[in-house]
Amino acid sequence: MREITTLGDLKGRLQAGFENNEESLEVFGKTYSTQLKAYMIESNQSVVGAGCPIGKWRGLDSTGWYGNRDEKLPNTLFLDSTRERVWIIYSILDAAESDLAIKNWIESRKGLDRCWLSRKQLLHWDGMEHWSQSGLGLRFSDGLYPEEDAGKFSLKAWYGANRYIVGLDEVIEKAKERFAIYSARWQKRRNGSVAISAEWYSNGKATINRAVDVDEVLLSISEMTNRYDDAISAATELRDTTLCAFEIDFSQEIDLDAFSNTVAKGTGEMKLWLVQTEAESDFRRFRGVDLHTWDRVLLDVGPDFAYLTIPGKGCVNAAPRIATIQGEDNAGRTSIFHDGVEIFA
Amino acid sequence: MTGWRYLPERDDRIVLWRNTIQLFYQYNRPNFVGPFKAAGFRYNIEPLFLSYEQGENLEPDIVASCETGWLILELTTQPKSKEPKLDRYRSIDSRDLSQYGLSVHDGEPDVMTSRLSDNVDDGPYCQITVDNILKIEKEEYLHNQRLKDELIEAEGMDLRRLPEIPIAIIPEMAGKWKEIRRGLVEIVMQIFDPNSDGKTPVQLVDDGLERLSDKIRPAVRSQLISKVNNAMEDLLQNHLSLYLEFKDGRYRATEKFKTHHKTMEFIALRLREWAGTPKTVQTPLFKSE
Repeated sequence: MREITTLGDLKGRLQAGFENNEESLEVFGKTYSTQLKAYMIESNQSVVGAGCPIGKWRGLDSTGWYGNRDEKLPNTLFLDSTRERVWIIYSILDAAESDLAIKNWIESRKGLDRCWLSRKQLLHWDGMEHWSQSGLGLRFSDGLYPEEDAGKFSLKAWYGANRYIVGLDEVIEKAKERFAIYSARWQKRRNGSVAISAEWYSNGKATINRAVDVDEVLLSISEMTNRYDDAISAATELRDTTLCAFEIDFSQEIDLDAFSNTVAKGTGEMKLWLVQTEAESDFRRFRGVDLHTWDRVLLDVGPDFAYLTIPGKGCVNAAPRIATIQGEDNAGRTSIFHDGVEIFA
Repeated sequence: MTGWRYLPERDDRIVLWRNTIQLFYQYNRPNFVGPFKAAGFRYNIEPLFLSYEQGENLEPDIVASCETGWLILELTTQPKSKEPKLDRYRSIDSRDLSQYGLSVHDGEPDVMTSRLSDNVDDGPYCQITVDNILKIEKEEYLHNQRLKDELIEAEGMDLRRLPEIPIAIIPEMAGKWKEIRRGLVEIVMQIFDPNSDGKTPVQLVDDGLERLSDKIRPAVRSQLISKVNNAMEDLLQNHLSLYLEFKDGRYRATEKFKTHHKTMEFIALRLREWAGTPKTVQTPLFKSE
C-alpha cells in the first residue's frame, strides 16, 4: 500500500476516488471510495497545539499540508493549514466516523471552532457561470422551548421534484425567506455534464458527491475558505478599531425569558454562559463568556435582534456562530451587520 | 454635622460613554442612525494633545473630524461646569489631528459636552444630554452647519437600547462600587475556564479597561485596583466562597468547581446578585462638613 507523503500523492488518491478507479484505489489500499468531505476550521491555535483528530499529523512535501499517521486509520485526514485563521481538513473516512472525529476534536481543543457559513456564503455561487443550485436544506428547531412545545420545521429539497407538485416552489420560497438555510447543494456543469456536485453545510462542512477534476474541487473549497478567512480578518479589524457592536437581525421573534434561562446554565448549542444584567419585557442585557474559547462577550437582545460586543482580543467567530446556531435553533433567517453594513456575506 | 445630597446611581459613566459613542454609529433594528455618523464623523478616544501656546497636556475624551469640520467632546457626570476646560481645548492645534488618523482642518473645533443630565451650565458651548432621550442645548454655538442640522434632526432619539461598548471599567468609576462590579461580571466568569491560571487584580483591571488600559495614569490605575480588590473580596466572602479563592496573588476557581450546568447556573445567579441590576440606588453625591 502506498503512503501519502506528498501533495501529489494526495491529489492522486482523491482523483482515483472521483473516478472510482479500482486499480488506482488499490495502490492506496482501498477497493471502494467514500465521498470526499471538507471541514472548514476556524483556528486560534498552532498545528502542533491543535493536534490531529485521529492520530498525529505528519507534514507532506508542501508547506502547511499534513496527512494523519495512525495505527488503524492512517492517510484518512489531510490538513491544509496554509491560511492564518481558517484551515481545511479533507477526509476520506465515511461520514459518521468523520463527523464524530471532527466534532470531538473541536470540542476538546480550546481555540478551535467550525466556520459558520451565512446564507450569502452558502449561496455564493448563485448567478455564476456554469453553477446552478440543485437543492437546499432548511431548519428551525424552536430550541428555546421544551421538546413537547417546540414547533419544529425541517426541509430538504432537491430542485426537480417541484415539477411533480403544483405550488411546491412557492412553499419552498416562503420557507426559505422565513427559516435558516443549513445546507445548499450546488452543481457545476461543463459541456453538458456535471463537473462538480457538492453540498455545503452551514457548519462549514462540504461533501463532494461527484467530481471530475481534483484541482477544480480543491479550488472551489479554497474559494469558500478564502472568503471566510477574509470575513474573519475584516471583522477582527472592526473589533479592534471601532466600538460599534455586531448586529444580528432575525426573521423570527425569540422568547427572551427562555433565552435567558438557557444561557444562564451555559447549555444549548450556542455555548454561551451569560449573566443577565438588565431586563425589560422586550430587551435584555447579558454579560458572560463564549464557552468555545472562554472569551468575553456582551450580548444585548431584543425580540428580533441581538447586539454582540466582543471585548479585548475575543474571537469574532462568535458572531457567525451565534447567528447560524440561533437562526437554526429559534430565530429563523439571520443576517449580521456592522455599522449598518452586512458582513460575513 | 454631615449633610448628604443624593443622585441615583446607575451605571452612570458606562451609560454616558455608551450612549455618546453610539452616536457615531448606526443600527438597523430599531432604526438608529447617530447624528455624528450621519454627519460623517470619525473619532478617536482619549487622544493626547498639547495646547498651542503653553504646551500644556490636553486630553479630551473624544476628538472627531469629518469633511465639514472637527469636534471635541467632553464626557462628564460631574456637577461642576466644564467651561474652563472647554476653553482650553480651543487652543488645540488642529494639525495634530493627523496623528490620530483624523482629517486636518483649519480653524477652531466645535467643542461640546455630553452629560446625563441638563442641570449644569457649561458656558458658551453646545451641550448634549444622552440619558434615555437625546437632548440638544445651545446648538447656536456650533460652527459646523452640517453637525448642527444632524443634531437638531436627532433630538428626541431613544438611547435606552443602544449596544454596550467593550470597555467595562473606566477611570472615573473609581468611586462607584456597584458599577465596578457589573463591569467585572464576565471577567470573573473567565476565571472558571478549566485552562485558566486565574487572574491577578491588575489583570482584572486591564481587562475591564480594554483599549483604555494604556491610556490611564498609574495613580488612577492604583485606585481602580484597590476598588476591584474590595469588590472581589466581597464576592469571595459573601457570594462565591465555594468556587472562588485568592491564592498566590491570583483569583482562581477552587477545586470544587466543575463545568456542570447546575454549578454554572448557581455562579451566574450569585454574580447577578453580587453585581445587582442597575436601578436607582441612593448614593452620596458629595459630603459637606
